[in-house]
Parts: sequence; structure tokens; C-alpha cells
Amino acid sequence: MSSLFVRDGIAIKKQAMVFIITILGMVIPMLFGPNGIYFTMAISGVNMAFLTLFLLSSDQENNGFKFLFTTPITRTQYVAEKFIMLFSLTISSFILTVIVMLIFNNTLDWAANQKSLTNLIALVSMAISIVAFLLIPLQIKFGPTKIQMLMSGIGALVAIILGAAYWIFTKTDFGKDAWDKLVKMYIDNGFTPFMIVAGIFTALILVLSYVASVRNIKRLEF
Amino acid sequence: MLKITELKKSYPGFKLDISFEAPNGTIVGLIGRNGAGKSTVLKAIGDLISRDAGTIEFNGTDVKNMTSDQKEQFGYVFPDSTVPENFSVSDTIKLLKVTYKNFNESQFNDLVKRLKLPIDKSVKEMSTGNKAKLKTIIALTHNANLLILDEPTAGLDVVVRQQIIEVLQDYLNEDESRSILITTHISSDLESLADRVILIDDGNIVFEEDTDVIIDSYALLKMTGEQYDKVDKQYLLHSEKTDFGYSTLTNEKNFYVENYPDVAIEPTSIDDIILFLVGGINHE
Repeated sequence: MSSLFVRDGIAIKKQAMVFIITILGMVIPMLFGPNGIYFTMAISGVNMAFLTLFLLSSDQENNGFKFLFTTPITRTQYVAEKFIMLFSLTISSFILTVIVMLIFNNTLDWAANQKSLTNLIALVSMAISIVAFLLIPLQIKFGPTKIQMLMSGIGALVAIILGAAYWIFTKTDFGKDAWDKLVKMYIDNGFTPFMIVAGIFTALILVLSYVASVRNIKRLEF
Repeated sequence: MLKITELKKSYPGFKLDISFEAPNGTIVGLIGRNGAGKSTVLKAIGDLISRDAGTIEFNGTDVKNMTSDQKEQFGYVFPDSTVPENFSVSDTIKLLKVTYKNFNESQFNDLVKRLKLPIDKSVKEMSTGNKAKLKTIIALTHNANLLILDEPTAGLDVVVRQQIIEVLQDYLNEDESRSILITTHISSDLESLADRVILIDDGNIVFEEDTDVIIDSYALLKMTGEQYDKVDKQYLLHSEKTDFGYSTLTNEKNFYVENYPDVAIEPTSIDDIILFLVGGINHE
């Protein structure tokens, strides 16, 4: 499996723009105050997710899988490496964003609640990584071109879900009650129950995506 | 030894069903028309496609059950697949060093120099000939026992083809137990390289022979209609009616040389065998 990390390392080195955008994404939004952190989280997290999918595309293009699976790499090892890569990039993005947030918070005197911001960064990282984990088995099965087309649909779907959630929580009695209960839970217990639920959900998606990815890659014929 | 036993694979409108062996130390050429099943056989050996039935064993182990270390025994060349296209030769060396335990970096570098490959150009920027050379070098610099080459010289000029053939011949001379299974449409490559030729048509083996025997015993006989009616047909494999009479393929050239001196006898090539055996009147 180490050869796959070397392979990805060589490919990542050729993608300097990703890191430039990530660094800019980390620094520039925060110049607009604590609210800039939300843009930083999104830019950094999405960049890391796209980077993993790019690495997968790079292996798939020009029938690359055909040659790759005649080397001593097994299909299961390949999937495991990609999940480890995505997980590592997500954690790195989270840690870097928290570090930059702490630096800005202390040097620019935002007086923001660091613990709350850290939890928010973690929640956003988990949400973005869920989308990436879900895309891996689909890209293995359908290839990068179809997934790029799907991404536009996913963006629209996320917007619809967020819009629907906003409408439910603000316009329906059931939604307003649920929102009040969530706010009360936050006031009483802080972020902890939300982090637990998000963590369990993310882990579940990760496991299911891994199983689906291994199944899909074993079924591929070249 | 590579042993393929009753390998079956079906696609819509196509059924592969073959058995053959490639002993250690031999070069076996698979020939046939486009869509005959040659690449399907190679992909099955690489476990890149599933099999409907049959076994593919190399030195007693089924390729489906091979460990990562055992997979190092194989070196592959595909016409449409290699390392990532934005990798250069120097990137490829870094990758191969961690991919294959037996990767021989000095041999790789020697071959790169000998074949004049650019070190820092990406694969996508290379010419067709340089890409083919790189694929071949990748296949044979990790001490593979069996090279599986799917049209390694397709689309190349005669100079580059000869360079690749020489590299393959040197590779075999280093170790007598090494083998090659090669598919190609360029029969002159097989005539200079292969020990044995297997003709596949429509998923089945229709002809199998040692190249020495083809050169020594096979011939084309050109006869008038009258000669054809009188000649002993027991050694005629296939015949075709032509404007002047008949053109026939025999595997007993000397019989006709000795008994029918007035019949025109010409040496045959692998291309002639393909043309005769996938068409014409069958005397067998």
C-alpha cells in the first residue's frame, strides 16, 4: 500500500494550486472577522475532498486502473488507501483551520468562544467529508466524468436540503418546536450531543461507503 | 508454466473457450482478427475480468489466488494503459521502487539511456514510440518471470519496433526460465521472436504450431484447376479458388516438392496462415 501513498504524493505535488487556494481560503476570510471562519471551513474542507476525488480521477483516467491492478496492489488495498487519504486530509484541514482560527482569535482580539468555534469547524468538516465519502464508491463505479456531472446536481441538492430545512424550522409548527428543543439542548449541554450524533453518523457513512467502494471496485472489469 | 484450462468468458455475441499452455522459457504468440479474443485472454490472466469457467495457473497457482508477492512474477504491457499520464520517467522510477520488491533501478536507467527516453517529460507529452518503450521497460525491470504483452509494437515505426524486440530478446537471454505471451498483428515480429503461434478466431483456437515447423514444413501451393483435381489432397489444410486456379496451404511442403515438381510452391508467412484459416475451403 505504501506505493499508493507515493503515487498520490507525486500527483499531489503537481497540484500546487490546491494548496495555494487552501492557504488563501484559510487566511483571507478571517480578515473579515469571526464570521470568516465559516468560509475558511468550507473552502478548506471542500478543497481536501476534491483533492481526494482528483487523486481517484488521476488513477482512473486513460484506463489507469487496468495497469494499476496488474501490479502487486490489490483492489481492496486501493480502496483502503483512498479512504485513509481522505480521512487524513480532512483531519489535516480541521487541525489547520483550528490553528489559524486560534491565531487570528488571539492576535485580532475577536473575543470569540474558541470551544464553540472548534466544534463548529469539526461539524462542518464532518459534513463535507460525508459528501466526499459518499462520492468515492460512485466515482469508482461510474468514473470521473459522470461524477463531475453529478457534482452540479449535488450542489443543487444541498441547496434544496438547506432551504427545506430552513422552511421547516421557521414556517411549520413541528419545525419550530424541534428547533426550540435543539436550542434548549445546546443551552443545557453545549455542543456535546450534536458532536456525538454527528460523529456516529459520519462513522456510519464512512463504513457503508467503504463497503460499497470495495464491492464496486471488485466488480469492475477492464 | 502458464496453463489455461477451458477458460470460458461470454459477452453479448461472443464466447471465449480456450485451453493452452506456455511452458517456461518459451515465447508464445497469440494472433487473430480484431475481436477474436486475444486481449480477453490476456485480461483474464491479469485477473482484470471475471471468468465464467476454467482455470488459469502459473507455476501451479491460480492467478485469482495469488498474493501480492506472486503478482510480481508478471510484467504487463497494454496498448491503452500505463502509469498516470502526468508522471515523468523520474516519477515512474520513484513509483516502481515502492511498487515492486525486485525493481532493478540501474537496469531501468540503463534501458532509459539505451532507448533515449526523456527523463523529465510527462508521459502525455511523449511520442507514441517513447510511450511504448517506457511501457516495455516498466514491464521487464522487476525480474518478472512471465511478460504479457498486448500489442506492444502496434502503431510504431520499424526502428522503434526493432528496438523493443531487441530489448525483449536480451531480457529472455538473461534467464532461460522467462517466458513471453504476446499478441500482435505484426507477424514479422512473431516470426523473429515467437517459439509457438496460436491462432484464435471467434473465441476458439483454430491453429497452433511451432514457428520452426511453420518455416520448415508449411507452404503455399499455387495450382491450375487441372493440377488441383489430380493432386493428393491429404496434406492440404485449406484451399482458395483464384483466377489462375487454386491457392492452397499445406503443412507437408516436402511431400509436394518431391511428388509434384510442376506445382508452384512458395514459402508461407503467419499472415498467410491467418488468411487461409479464417476463410477458404477446409480440407480437414
